Amino acid sequence: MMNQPLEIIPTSIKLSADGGVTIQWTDLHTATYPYAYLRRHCPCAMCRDNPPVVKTTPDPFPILGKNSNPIKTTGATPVGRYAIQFQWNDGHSEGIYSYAYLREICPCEDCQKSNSTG
Amino acid sequence: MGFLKKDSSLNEKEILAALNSINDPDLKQDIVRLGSVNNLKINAGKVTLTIKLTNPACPIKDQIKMEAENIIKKLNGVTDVSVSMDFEVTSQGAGNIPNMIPKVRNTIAVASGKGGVGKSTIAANLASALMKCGARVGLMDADVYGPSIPTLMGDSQKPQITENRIIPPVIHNVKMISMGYFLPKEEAVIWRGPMLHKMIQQFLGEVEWGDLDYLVIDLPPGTGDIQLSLCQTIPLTGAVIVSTPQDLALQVASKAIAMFRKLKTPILGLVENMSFYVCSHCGKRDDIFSHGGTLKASQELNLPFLGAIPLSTEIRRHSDEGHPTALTENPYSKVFRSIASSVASQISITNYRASNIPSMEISN
Repeated sequence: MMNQPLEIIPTSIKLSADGGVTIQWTDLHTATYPYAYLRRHCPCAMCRDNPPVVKTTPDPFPILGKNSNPIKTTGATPVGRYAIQFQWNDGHSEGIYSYAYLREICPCEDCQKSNSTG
Repeated sequence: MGFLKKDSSLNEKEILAALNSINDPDLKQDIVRLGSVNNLKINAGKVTLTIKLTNPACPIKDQIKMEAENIIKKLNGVTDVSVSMDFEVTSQGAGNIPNMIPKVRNTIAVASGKGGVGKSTIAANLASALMKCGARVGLMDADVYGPSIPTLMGDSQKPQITENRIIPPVIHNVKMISMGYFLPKEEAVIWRGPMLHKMIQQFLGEVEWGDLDYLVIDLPPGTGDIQLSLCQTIPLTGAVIVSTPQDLALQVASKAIAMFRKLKTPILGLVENMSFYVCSHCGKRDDIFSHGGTLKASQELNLPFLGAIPLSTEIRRHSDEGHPTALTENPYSKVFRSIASSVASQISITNYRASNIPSMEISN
């Protein structure tokens, strides 16, 4: 059997009701991505050019707008073996978040620190 | 089992303890721990059992059978022994993630960088060889531009279409689908990405594949829309890369390998096609495209080498006649069967390793 290096990919992906998306990785690293953070980092071409305005608090006048709720996912679909696609409650679902990209934007303190220094 | 038997010294435990010296040739674990020993029965000194391997094309099946019989014969109280060999192909255990083709246990993409290296010939023969070993096999021609699978596998009826489902024709006991069935021979497919994506989804999701051990997918050359769509639509079990031995072909093949690695699709190994030519007049061997380049490349890339197929008039003739060489009895069919066995072996190994598909939980 060939010895291949450990692939850094998620072992589990949990979408919780209000917390966000918790990803555990093959190297045992674990972090929770707040929904607003993930939505802001949508990798689709449209969002890259025009970063989306993301609601994080409930709309005080819900009657005036359709998207009155704070951002969260309504579902998620795996994309082959390498990525995941989130469906958002603002109607957007185009972004394909590759596992490599998700790891790159990991919001945990350690990763953010090493990103800013590196 | 009776309470008081003459052969009370002989029990199942003893037999299993003796058999655990036999290892599964692919998984390198003893067959008892793997649960490969089934239907163990002892009847007045007569022992019968079935050994189920995960590779239908295991080349040393008979050897394992003999070894098991010899081991059991030596035990006290055994008068007769009969071991039968069987297989059950494993799947990659896609966890809780919904899959478009849940009844298909494994999907194998046959790919190359460069065109004209013999992908379709290898795909057709790989499917035929796996079928010949008893596996349930499908063959999907994802090469819309140059669908050659219908020619390679021989004439058949067209697929039947009933209420959103496509019933694939069965040729040589292999279920098949190809764009070639839906277009007149002289027409061409001139499509952009979204149409190709739709075709891949239809060929996977709307074709009545039924229960399959292996679905072999023949890809067009390159690293374009079809490859990407396929890797996005289903979690492929793995890819087989075909190349000729020349440097040029290998350089382009490494692009395909890079793509699959990026998309986290396991690479089952490399096949060298057009490896050499033996002149039918003088018997002299000629390395038209050089030789052994693919083996060297697989070593450099740390990937399994699955086998080498020569340039041969016979293989060409079988291909044009629609009767894959793997179904015939000649020296070349053995080569194809050995490649199929290596592919099945790599799949068993990949599936045995911890699943590399994450579990998903949605609680909102």
